[in-house]
Amino acid sequence: MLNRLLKMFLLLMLSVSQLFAQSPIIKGVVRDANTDMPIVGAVVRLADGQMVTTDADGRFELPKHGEVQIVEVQAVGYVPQQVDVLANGAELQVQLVPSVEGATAELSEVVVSSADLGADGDDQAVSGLLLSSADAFAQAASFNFGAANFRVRGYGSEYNGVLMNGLNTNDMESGYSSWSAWGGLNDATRNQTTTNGMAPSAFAFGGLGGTTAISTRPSEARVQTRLSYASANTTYRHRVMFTHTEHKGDSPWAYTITGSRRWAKEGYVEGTNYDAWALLVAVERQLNSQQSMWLTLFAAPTRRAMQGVSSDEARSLVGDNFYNPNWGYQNGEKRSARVRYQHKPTAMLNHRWISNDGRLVLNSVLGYSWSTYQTTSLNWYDAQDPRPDYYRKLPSYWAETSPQSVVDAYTDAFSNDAAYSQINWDALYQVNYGNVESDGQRRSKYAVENRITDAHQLGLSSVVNYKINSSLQVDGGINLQGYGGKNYKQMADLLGGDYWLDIDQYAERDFGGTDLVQNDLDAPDRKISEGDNFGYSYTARVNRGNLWAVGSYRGNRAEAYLGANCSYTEFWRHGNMRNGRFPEHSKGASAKQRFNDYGLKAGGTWKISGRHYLSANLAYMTKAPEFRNAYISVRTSDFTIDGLRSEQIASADLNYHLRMPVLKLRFSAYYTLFMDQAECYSFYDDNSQNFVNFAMRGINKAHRGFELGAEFKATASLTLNAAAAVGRYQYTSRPLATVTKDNLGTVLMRDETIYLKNYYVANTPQTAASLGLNYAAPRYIYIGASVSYFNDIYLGLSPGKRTEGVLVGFDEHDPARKQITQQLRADQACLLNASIGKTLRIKRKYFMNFNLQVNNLLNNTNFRVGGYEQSRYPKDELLSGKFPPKYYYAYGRTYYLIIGIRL
Amino acid sequence: MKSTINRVALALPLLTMLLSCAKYNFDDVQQAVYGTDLKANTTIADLKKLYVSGNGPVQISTDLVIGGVVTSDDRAGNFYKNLFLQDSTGGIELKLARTGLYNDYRRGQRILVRCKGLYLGDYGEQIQLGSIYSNSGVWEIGALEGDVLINRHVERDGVDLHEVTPLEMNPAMLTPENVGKLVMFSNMQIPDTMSLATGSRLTYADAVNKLTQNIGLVSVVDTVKYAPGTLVLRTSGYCNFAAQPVPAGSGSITGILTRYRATYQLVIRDPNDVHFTQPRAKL
Repeated sequence: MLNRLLKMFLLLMLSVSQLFAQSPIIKGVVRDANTDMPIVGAVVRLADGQMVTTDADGRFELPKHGEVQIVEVQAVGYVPQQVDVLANGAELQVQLVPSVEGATAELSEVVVSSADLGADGDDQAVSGLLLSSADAFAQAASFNFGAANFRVRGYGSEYNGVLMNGLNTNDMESGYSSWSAWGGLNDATRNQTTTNGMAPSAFAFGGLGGTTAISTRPSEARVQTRLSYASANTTYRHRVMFTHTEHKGDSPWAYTITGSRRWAKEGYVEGTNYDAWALLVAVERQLNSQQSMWLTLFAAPTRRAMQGVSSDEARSLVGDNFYNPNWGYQNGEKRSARVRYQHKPTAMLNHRWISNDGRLVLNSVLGYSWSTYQTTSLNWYDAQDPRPDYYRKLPSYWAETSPQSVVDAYTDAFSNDAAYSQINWDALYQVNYGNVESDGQRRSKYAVENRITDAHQLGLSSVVNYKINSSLQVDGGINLQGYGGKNYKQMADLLGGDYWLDIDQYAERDFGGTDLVQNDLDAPDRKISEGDNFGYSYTARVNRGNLWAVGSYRGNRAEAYLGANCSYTEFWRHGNMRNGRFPEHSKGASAKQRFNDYGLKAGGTWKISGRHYLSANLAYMTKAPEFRNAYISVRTSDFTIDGLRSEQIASADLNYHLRMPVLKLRFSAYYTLFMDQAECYSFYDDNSQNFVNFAMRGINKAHRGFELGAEFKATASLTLNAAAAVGRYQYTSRPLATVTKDNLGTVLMRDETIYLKNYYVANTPQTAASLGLNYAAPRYIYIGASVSYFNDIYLGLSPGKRTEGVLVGFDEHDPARKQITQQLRADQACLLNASIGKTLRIKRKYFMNFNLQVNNLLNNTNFRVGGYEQSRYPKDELLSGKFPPKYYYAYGRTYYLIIGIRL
Repeated sequence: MKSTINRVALALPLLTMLLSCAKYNFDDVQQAVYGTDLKANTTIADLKKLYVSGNGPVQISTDLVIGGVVTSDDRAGNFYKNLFLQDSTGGIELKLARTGLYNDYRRGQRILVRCKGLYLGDYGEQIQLGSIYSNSGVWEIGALEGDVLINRHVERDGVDLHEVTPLEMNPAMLTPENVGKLVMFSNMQIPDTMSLATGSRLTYADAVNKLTQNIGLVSVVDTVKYAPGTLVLRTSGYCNFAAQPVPAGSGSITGILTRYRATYQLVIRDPNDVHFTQPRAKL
């Protein structure tokens, strides 16, 4: 009787204590879902920014302030998870599923940059931006949508921030994200924190489309010794990688060393290849219980022959949607005219200080990088166009007036003879050998030149996070960046000749042998040898500074934030050569362009219940123009475009979040306006027989749409996910253009109206959806599959074709009008992806993993992911199809197989 | 086990360095020698005889091969999409639809032409060898269609250049047989060096409007007379010396002899063909 009473009493005590002791601690254990081994060094985060890492047993403890529903658990090499905190305070059992080892991160490397195929100097690398986010939509967007060059909400990468150890890594001249600087260093850059959308984060004010912060801090990296080999059939075919991270609990030191080699004698596309090395070393010392410093050094030199894009006629003649006009046979080997080499060695010194009570954190970083970015290209003087797919070399050019036998001869030659369908290097050499001048020397008619940007960049950033109390926090920081980039070209190969004469051939055609033809008035008629710099040379100088602060409130039922940012940007062009056409405006420092910009962000979350949240974000920002877009003809002169000013951006979104144990869902609606943008295009205008520069200003755009992401845990081992993005990104104004002749700067048209209103932003699917599943099978096998749908991909427009002048002669009801002005669209497409992986344990200590990822399983090689209208539109050929659009195609079936061993 | 794995881990990067990589440095292509077994089996004069005017272009249906030396030069732009080749019997205009012909078929280059499938036609009674094109449904003589066709019919013979000695001319030699040959007129001058149209110094052609210009040539020797209108210096408005003033002196002038109906036209390759180094004669 007494025993029973005692037991009841104890039971009562326990249950009462559980009822009232709202355990002030959240604790849990993080394990690998496959091996059940504890994961050391996993990061456990709360919404208020608090963060701990798991110990040697995979355990963590976090003090709980107020109502906490969710913890986010992330570990390098695993799919991040959001775990519901249990009401009874029981220990959380977190099972992390290994991410398709490396393949998700690999995708950012292997997906072809559409801009590889486009204009020179463009490198808007497709980003692996959203990989680390636990948001179902973001995961789908990066994993499945990347093949179609999907851009979240249609924003260009200059609106997304990529921070490495706290420093902004966007290119200082173009604004584009540059992932290639650390290509091949996936193991060390896997520690990423991503915010989606416009809300600021604890480490940056952020742009419009979110920020990804990468950290190479060794003490936060997964302790491992790992070796892997990957085989693929995309831009590269083999990759060998090793990583070693060490930090022992009692030692103040931690370090990471990782390196890789990626190569392909020939990639997926004929005539492409790959040759890359990468090395990263990071060393950290914990100075005391509050301070830590770490030094990161990395370099990733990459050289590769690039793909080119061509017309459908050329493609169908060769019988390959991936026909690459950039290469040809030389002495029996494939030689590419378009080789890119890039290398950006970087050094970063980080410092972190945390106050005794843990409420104040200060993170600072000083970084320096020097880089070279080079692209080769064929050039020719007073000789036939060497490009094999030049329109006059195709059967269609002759079809109108020549006998059928001629058209057949061209069809036969292009289809069957690489001497015609690819670059004929032999013919180029023979022309050079034969061109003996009166002094007995051979002047090259054909040459390979190398366009180079050599840059130095210094950056300093400091971020402070201050937790005022359990519900109020203030974050803020300062960033300073200085950049100097020398842009010039260098003679790479004279192709059998003795010299190249440094003059402008179009100026020579127009003005004869006067000063105007000189590229360098201070060294006229210079004979260029291999390795000499020539043609143009200028240095882009860009300096930026910004200050930001965000205050946030986190309560039980609601959250809110308010932030502001102000920045100063200055840039100018320092010319290094006095150009004959612009002698007063080419050499020396140009006027400094200065911009003061600011941004305001506000938003909040209303927790309807533990499961339903509603959040809204508002942002208004101004953004200084990028250096690249500011000058009319930056290689030859320092004239800036009319209307050079900061653009304005206003954006709002409304989000509904559902968080149930088995179903997580986000539905968003957004509306973003861009105002007063400026862009400059250069192309050859047949009608005036000149290269022209088309500087447009007053460009307004509206991006609006819906996003849906959902993840449904059907069973303990089966997860279904779905994502959909439906948007409309359109021009909403009629920009004004100033058209100038490139050779003298003569104005051909001023304030010409460009009828761009309601046309669509190009080269991103405005409708995308995917459905997928992940299944954790027995014996540590996991299987994934997804199907994606894409539509509403519009092609790049030629602004000149939307002027009044172009339609002269076609009366209002002529159907030809529509044919000339309509925007081309790619057909809708579906892609199927699948993956399978297995982990093996060897001798209880070592883990071996196999992962196979297959993209575009059904080998759809007709999927046009983008392209552009040609800019040439001679008046008499508007309807003839002589200059057809150029399309990019998504790769067919590709695979990525990784075999890794962890010691 | 661990040390073995460590050793393997170290060795792998070394191994990969040995593996074949992408190639970026290429040996130069050897200079071509253009050796050929092809030989001419007819003469230019005989080929021209095959053409009977009045019925449009005449196709050559037998395996005839002519050979000759290139005498014209489109470097300065006075020749366009054509070249003249000459053997011991005569010269002929070969129409080729590409620019920069001088880059591949230089002055003095020996070439052979497979004539089967080509057409003979005329323009203003000057015989031309080429292809046909449809002019609003009517087939007319035109240029051989770009490199694919040119490479099938024209072959280079050796890399050495053999300059042709120009034929010394007199009025009696202005005959159809000599059309297409490289010729030289001695003791000539341009009668009017002032332009009647502009009132300023006469230039080789109208560079401003890109118009071709015919300039009369006269002999300064009393006993040598070219009937007015029978011989002109013809220059294209697109050539790079079109705006250059014509020389006022007298002397020799070399060029390709062409014709348009009853007028014989001398087309120079560039101003170096004009040696008016003697003083102007008063006529």
